Amino acid sequence: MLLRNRAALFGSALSVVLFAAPVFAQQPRHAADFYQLPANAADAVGVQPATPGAVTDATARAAASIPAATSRAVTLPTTRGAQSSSTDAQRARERFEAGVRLADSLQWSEAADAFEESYRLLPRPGTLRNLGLAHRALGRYMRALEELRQFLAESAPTPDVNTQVTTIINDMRSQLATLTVVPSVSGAQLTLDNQPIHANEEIQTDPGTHVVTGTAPGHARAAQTLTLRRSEQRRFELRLERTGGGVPIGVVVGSTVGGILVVAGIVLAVVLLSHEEAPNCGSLNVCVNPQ
Amino acid sequence: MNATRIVAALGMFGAIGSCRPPLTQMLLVIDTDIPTCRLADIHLRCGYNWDGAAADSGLTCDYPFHRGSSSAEIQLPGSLGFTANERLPNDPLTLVIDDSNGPIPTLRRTVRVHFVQRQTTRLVVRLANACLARGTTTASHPCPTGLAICTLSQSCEAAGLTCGNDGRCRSVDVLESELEFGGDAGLPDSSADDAASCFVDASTGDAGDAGDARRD
Repeated sequence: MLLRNRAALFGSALSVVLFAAPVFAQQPRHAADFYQLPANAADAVGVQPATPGAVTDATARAAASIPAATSRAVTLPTTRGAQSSSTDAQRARERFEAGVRLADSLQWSEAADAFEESYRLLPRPGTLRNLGLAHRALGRYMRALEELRQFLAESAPTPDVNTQVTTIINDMRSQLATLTVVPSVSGAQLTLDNQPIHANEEIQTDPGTHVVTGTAPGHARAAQTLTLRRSEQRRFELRLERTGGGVPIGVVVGSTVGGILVVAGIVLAVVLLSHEEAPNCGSLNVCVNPQ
Repeated sequence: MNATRIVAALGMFGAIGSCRPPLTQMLLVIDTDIPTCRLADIHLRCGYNWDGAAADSGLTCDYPFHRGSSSAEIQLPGSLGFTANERLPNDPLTLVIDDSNGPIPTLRRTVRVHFVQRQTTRLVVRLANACLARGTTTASHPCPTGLAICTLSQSCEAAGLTCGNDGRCRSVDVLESELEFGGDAGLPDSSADDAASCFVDASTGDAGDAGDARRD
């Protein structure tokens, strides 16, 4: 019971810390968009408290700066929440801080990895928001949208934060590319970046380079790379070539004629060459050549 | 479609490869109406762009043949093949066939012939008995220097000619029109009358003179 209370207190304290300094600049792709840990709170949360009193003190100090909206976030349902082990929580905090540092140095991919690991260990809305912003900086709008929408849904942010995040979401939505893949064979199984998609249906995806594949019975697997610009709407026709028994008659005829030509050529060459290799040496079986 | 193109390309390649022109060669048929007893040994020399005289320059072949019926001997008519020089296809082939009888053979036939490109031609060289006919040197029958009596073959050579198939002097050069095309024709029937005796009428006292040979 005592341990459960400690964990609950620690979890609450960390959540408070994450939302304690909601810095959200006008340039959301900058590292300054990310939540930072207040120095005192970081110290308090980053160290496993030795006694219940210490945890209480730290929680109290952090809670002193909690905005009303942010404090509500503490009550968000989480998959692990207060049940997270202290080790996971500490690791989550370390990765969160690392993510902020990496974002400061514009290492977005590494920052996203750090936030993702932190969120996996301790799923907090603030971490999700930072993760979404890192993915936005990487141009992974689809994923960023999902994360920021989840953040809005789960964290009940302040009106300012809500407005800012919503603005970012709308901005990314407007930049999504729209792709419609039209396979040459009906019923073809399609994927976009290894994710199944439906044929002839508009799908929204990130601007950038993608790989579209298609498979169908009796056809060779087709794979095409395409690059989509921001806000581009593209209708992409994916051609699948027949294989095996489904060979078009033109290919059959062409292959047959070609094969006959090859065989005839080889036979003729052998006949002529063999004629050259064995000149007529007459009845005396004497062959004279310049060499 | 790529497979079709590859197959078609291979077919074209094969067809083109099969279009390699045929060999340029000549089949020489040696025949004679001279009895074996009078022409037992034949010496054949040849050379591409050879002058027909130098023994150690430009000579390509040098075959001594002995007429007979054993496996080591040859029977006339007989044939042998010559292939053109691929690098110098226009070089003539010079053939010298003689009886190996001394420094000035009593019988010698010289032939200079050009190959016909990408064709197999056939040339018949007949060593005529008439070429062994002897005669004293005259304006119409000059003999090599130092000889009062010589064979027709020797006389032809003295005039810069050679004794032809018909037993008359002629140029050593063979015209293309004299060649037969195709190497599949068989050998001519033997024209040598080996049944003829090499005995001569003792009364003539002219043994060894082919022109005076008599049958028993």
